[in-house]
Amino acid sequence: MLSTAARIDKVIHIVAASDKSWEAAARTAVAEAAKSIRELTFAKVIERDLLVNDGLLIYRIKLEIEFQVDRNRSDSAGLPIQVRRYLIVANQTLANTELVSWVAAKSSDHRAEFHVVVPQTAPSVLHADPATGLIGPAAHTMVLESRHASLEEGERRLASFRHALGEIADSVTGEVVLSDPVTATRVVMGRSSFDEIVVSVLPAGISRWLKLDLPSRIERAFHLPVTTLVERDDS
Amino acid sequence: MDSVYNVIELIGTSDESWEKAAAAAVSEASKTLRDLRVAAVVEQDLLIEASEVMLYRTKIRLSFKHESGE
Repeated sequence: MLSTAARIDKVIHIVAASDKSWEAAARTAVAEAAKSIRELTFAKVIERDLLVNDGLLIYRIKLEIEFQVDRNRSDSAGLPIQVRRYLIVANQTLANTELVSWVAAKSSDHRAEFHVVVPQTAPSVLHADPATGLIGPAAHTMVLESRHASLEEGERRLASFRHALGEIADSVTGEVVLSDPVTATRVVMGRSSFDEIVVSVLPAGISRWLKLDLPSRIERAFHLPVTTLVERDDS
Repeated sequence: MDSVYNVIELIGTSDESWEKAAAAAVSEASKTLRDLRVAAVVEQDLLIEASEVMLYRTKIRLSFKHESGE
């Protein structure tokens, strides 16, 4: 049996690219990994390579990162405690005070950690002009701009949610994933581990996620207990 | 004539790049070693603080001719 002092780490590889330098690529990778990993202090370079694209150099770097996956922590007095890790899937409800109160209640004894994933839909496929079979540069720019806007929108929601949490925000990490909710959850599950998934949805009448039966789909896909937080309909 | 070489490893750090980290290690080694010719990069890693890269570290391997003192 594991003692409470035991520690289990997970090892992942992250690949990032930059058109400037391997250092810049590494900074991108670290910033990305830090979104879902607490206490990230070390990364090892596994591989570096160059892609040559139309005479332009792309610097790629592969980093190895280790992080704690067990639930053993110490409290403020240094005594061993166990935490429960929640993955919260939320988008529009981040602006609502109900989710804030729920997180506050769960974290009252400091034995809970939360990661928020904000799935934002954004175009990922470029549609070619049926007449020419080509993808115009204007269409490409439009897709990039739309993805950027979705990302910013998600980051804004996440920032105001963290702001509303106040001091509790310390036990909350979060990230925006440009994808549907199930895929976004899969992305996050791939690099971290959780005990429970919380799906935060709008009131029953208007929630698209409830219409899609997202909570059951997530439960089937990840075999974890799923809690659905339905926002109250005050209108 | 047969030769013998010493091999040592050093870790240099920089807050800017792995190149500067390597240069720091080489310049330190050259203070005490003569005829340094090749430094091989053995390992590179990163120290991270508050979600940002704090230090680039480069481990280099240096070899230099063993002088028996004759």
